[in-house]
Amino acid sequence: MLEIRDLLVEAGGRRLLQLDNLTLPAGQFVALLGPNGAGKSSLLKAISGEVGCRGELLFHGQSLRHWNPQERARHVAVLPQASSLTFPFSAREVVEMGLMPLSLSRQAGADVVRAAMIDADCLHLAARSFPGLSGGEKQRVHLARVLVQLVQAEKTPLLLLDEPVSAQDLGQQHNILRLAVRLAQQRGITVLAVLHDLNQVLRYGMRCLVLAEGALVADGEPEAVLTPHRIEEVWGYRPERYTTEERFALL
Amino acid sequence: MRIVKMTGSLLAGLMLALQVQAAEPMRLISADAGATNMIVALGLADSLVAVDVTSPASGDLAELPRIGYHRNLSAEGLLSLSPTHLVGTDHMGPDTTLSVLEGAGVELIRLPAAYSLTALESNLKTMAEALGREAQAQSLLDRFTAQTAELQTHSLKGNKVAFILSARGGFRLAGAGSNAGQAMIDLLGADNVADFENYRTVSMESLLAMEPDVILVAGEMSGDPAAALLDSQPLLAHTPAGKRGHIYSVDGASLVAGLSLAALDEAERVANAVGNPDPSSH
Amino acid sequence: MNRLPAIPAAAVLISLLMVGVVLSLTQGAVSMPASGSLTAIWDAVFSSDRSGLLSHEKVIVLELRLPRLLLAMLVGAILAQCGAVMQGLFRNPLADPGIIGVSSGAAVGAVLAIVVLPVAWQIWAVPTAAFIAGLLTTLLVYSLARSSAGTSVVMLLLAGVAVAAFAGAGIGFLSYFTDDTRLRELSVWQMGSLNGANHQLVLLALVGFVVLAIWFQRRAGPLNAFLLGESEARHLGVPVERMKLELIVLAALGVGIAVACSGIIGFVGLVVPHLVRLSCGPDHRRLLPLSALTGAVLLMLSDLAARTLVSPAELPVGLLTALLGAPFFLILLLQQRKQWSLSGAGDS
Repeated sequence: MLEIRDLLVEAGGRRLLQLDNLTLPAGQFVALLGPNGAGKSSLLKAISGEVGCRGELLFHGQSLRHWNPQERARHVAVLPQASSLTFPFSAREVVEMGLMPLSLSRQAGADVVRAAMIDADCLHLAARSFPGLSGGEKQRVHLARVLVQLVQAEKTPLLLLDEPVSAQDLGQQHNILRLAVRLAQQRGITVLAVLHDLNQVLRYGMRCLVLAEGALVADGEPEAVLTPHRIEEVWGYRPERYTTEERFALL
Repeated sequence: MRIVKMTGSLLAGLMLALQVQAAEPMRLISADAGATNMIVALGLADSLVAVDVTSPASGDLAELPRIGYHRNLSAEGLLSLSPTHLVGTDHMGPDTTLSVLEGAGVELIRLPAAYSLTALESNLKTMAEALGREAQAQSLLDRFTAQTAELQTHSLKGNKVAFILSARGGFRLAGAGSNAGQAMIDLLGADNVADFENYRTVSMESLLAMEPDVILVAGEMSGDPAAALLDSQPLLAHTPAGKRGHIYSVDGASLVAGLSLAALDEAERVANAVGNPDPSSH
Repeated sequence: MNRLPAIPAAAVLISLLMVGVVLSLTQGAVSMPASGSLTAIWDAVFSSDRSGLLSHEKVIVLELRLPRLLLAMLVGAILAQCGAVMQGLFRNPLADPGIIGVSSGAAVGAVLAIVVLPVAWQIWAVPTAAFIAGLLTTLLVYSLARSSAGTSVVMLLLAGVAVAAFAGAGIGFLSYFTDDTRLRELSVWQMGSLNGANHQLVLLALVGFVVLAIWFQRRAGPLNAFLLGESEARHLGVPVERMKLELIVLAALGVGIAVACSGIIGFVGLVVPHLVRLSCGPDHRRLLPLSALTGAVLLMLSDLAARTLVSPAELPVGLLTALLGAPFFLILLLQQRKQWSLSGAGDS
C-alpha cells in the first residue's frame, strides 16, 4: 500500500503536481484521470522514481527512495506509454527480461513467462520479432513483462499503467481492463492506471482520481466523481448521461 | 700417414672455407634513398636485392621488390630475401624486426640522416668500411673533396635562396632546421629566405616579400618542376630570382632522405648556372 | 526470425580460429616446412627438438608469427566486444567505440607524441600517449554529457562528435608544423599495424581481454534491459547511471589498449558486433562472446593477408579488415532488408 504525503513535483520553477495526502490500499484498481498537463505523468514518474520530487512516498511503510533497487523492482512495475526497443529481440525474449530482478529456476521462469503472456493475450506472438509488432501488440508484450516482474513480490506490489489501452483495439481494451481488475481483486495488486475513456472508468474502475492543473480535484467512486457538472469543470465539456439497468454511460 | 691425412683434410676444409667466404656474394637491402644512392655510387648496384619506396625506381632498380616504410619493416619479408646486410637510417624499426634480423646473421648498417657535408662524408666512410669497398669509396671521396672545393669557389654567399617543394595543387617553402632544403642551401653557402622551421605553406605574396635571389624547385615527379611552377604561379617572375632567370629545377630524389652524392652534383650544377646565367637553361 | 543458434555458431568460429592459427603459424614470407612450424611450438613448450628448423626459422615462428597472431586475436576480440557494448549503450547498431571520443583522443595523443617528442622515444611514448589521451578524452566527453538528471546518451553522442571534430582540427594543425618524416610516421600509425608485436604486448592485451570479457559478460543481462530504454531498465532494478560510467570507462580502456598495441584499426568494432547481431540475435549474453570470437578470427586473417600479400612489404591491416568485413556486412544487410520488408511495419 502506498502513502503519499506533501508531494511536490516542480520543473523549471513551475509546479507540475502538488498532493497533500493520498493513500492507495492493496487490491484496488485506481483510475487516474485528467486533461493533458494535469500532472498524471508527473504522479506516475514521482512514484516510479523517474523524476525528483519533494515529500514522502511510503510504500509498505518505507520511503520508496530507501528501498533496495532489486526489491523495489520486484514490487513496483511500470508499463510505459511508448516502447523504444528497436533491436530484433523476440516477443518472448522481451517478456523474459521481466525475470531480471527475480530468482527463479529456468523452468519456473519459463512457466511464469508463459502464464503472463497468456494473461496479456500475446502468447501467439512469442516467436515474432518485437520491432515488427503493431503498437498494441508491443504494449501487450510489455504488459506481460511487467506481470512477470511482480511474480515474486513478498508484499503486495504496485502496478503503474501509463495509458495501457491507448493503442489497443476495442476488444483488447476490454481484455486489458478486465485483467487489471482481476489482478487487483484476485492477486491483491494495487493498480494505478492513467485512462482517458470515462465510460471505461465507470465500468471497471473501483476508485477514480481526477487531477487538474497539478492538483487533486476529486477522489472517490467513479459514479460519484464523474458527474456531468464535475466533468464540465475539469474538461470543459458537458456530457449527457444515459442510464441503463445496471449502470450509466456518458456521451 | 694419419697426420698427413688430417692436415690434408684440414687444409681442404680451410680452402673450402676461404672459397666460400670469397665467393659469398653480398645481398643488400636498402631502407633509405640516400643509402641506395651511395650503394649505387660504390658500384654495388648488382648486390641490391630490395629497396624502399623512397629510393628511385628507374634503371637497374626498377625491377627490385620494394620493402615498404622503413619504420615498419617486416622481418619475415626481409628474411625471405636472404640478405647479408640491411642499410638504412638510425630510425629503422620496429625493434623486434631488427633484433630478429641481427639474430639471423644480417649485418645492420645504420646511418644518421645527413644534412651536412661532414655527415655525408662520415656516412660514406662507414658504408664503405662495412661493405669492404674502401677503394671505390676513395675515388668518390676525392670527387667529394673536389666538388666541395668547387662549391666554395662558386659559393652563393650573400644570396637569399628559397627552396620550394612543389606538389600537386600547391607548394611549400623549406625553413631552417634539419631538412634537405636547408642542407642544399648550406651546400651553396647561401642564406635561407625563410625564418621559420621545417616546411610551411606560404602565400605567393609572402614569397614575393621575401625577395629571393635564387629559387630552387624540387618536385614529386620527374620532369621540370621549375617550369611547371612558373606556369602555375607566373608572379614568381617578379622576384629578383625570376627577373634574373635564377629559377632552377632540382632533382627531388637526390634530397628525399637528406643529402646524397647526387645532391652534391645538383648543387654543383646550380652553382655553375648562377655563376653563368643562361636564360634558356633552368 | 532467422537466427543461427549460438552453440553451432561458436563451434564454427572456434574451428575457423584454429584454422587461422595453423595458417598464421605456417604461412609467411619465409617458406619453411609447415610441420616444422607447428612442431616448433611443441618444442618450445616441452623443451624438445623435433622441428628440424634452423635457428632463425624457429625465431621467426616463435618471436614473429606467434606473438603476432596472438596479438591479432586478442586485439580483434577486444575491439569487437567494445563495439558491441557501445552499440548497446547507445542503443544504436551503428555505434562504434570511436563515438565516445576514445579513438580521436588517442589519435591526438599519438600525434602530439610523434610531432613533439624526439624520434627515439617514440617506440614507447606513442602508445602510452595514445592510451592516456584516449582515456582522458572519454572522461571529458562523459562529463560533458552528465548533468544532475543523469548521463544523456544523446549528449554523449554529440559531445563525442564535437571532440572528434576538435581532435581532427588539432591533428591537422599539428601536421602543418611538422616535417615529412614525422608526417609519414603519423599516417602509418593511423592505419594500424601488428608488426611490432612482442610478448609484452601480448601479455598486456591478454590481461586486458580477460578483465574486459569477464566484466562485460556480467553486464550482459542488464545491457539487454538497457535496450528497452533507460527508465525501463531502471524499473527492472538495473543501476543505470553506474553501469553507463562503468561501460564507457571499460570500453575506453579496451580501445586504449588496442590502440597502444597496434595503432588505429577501424571497422572491427563497428562491423563485427553488427554482423553477429544480424546472424545470431541481439541478446548480449550470446552477442559478447560470439563477437569476441569473430573479431579474433577477422583480425587474425586480415593480418595474415597484410603480411603476405605484398611481401616483402606489408599492407596496413585496417585496409584489410575493411575489405574482408564489408562484403559480409553488405550481404547480411541485403538479406535483412528482405526480411524487414516482408514482415511489414505492423498495423497500428
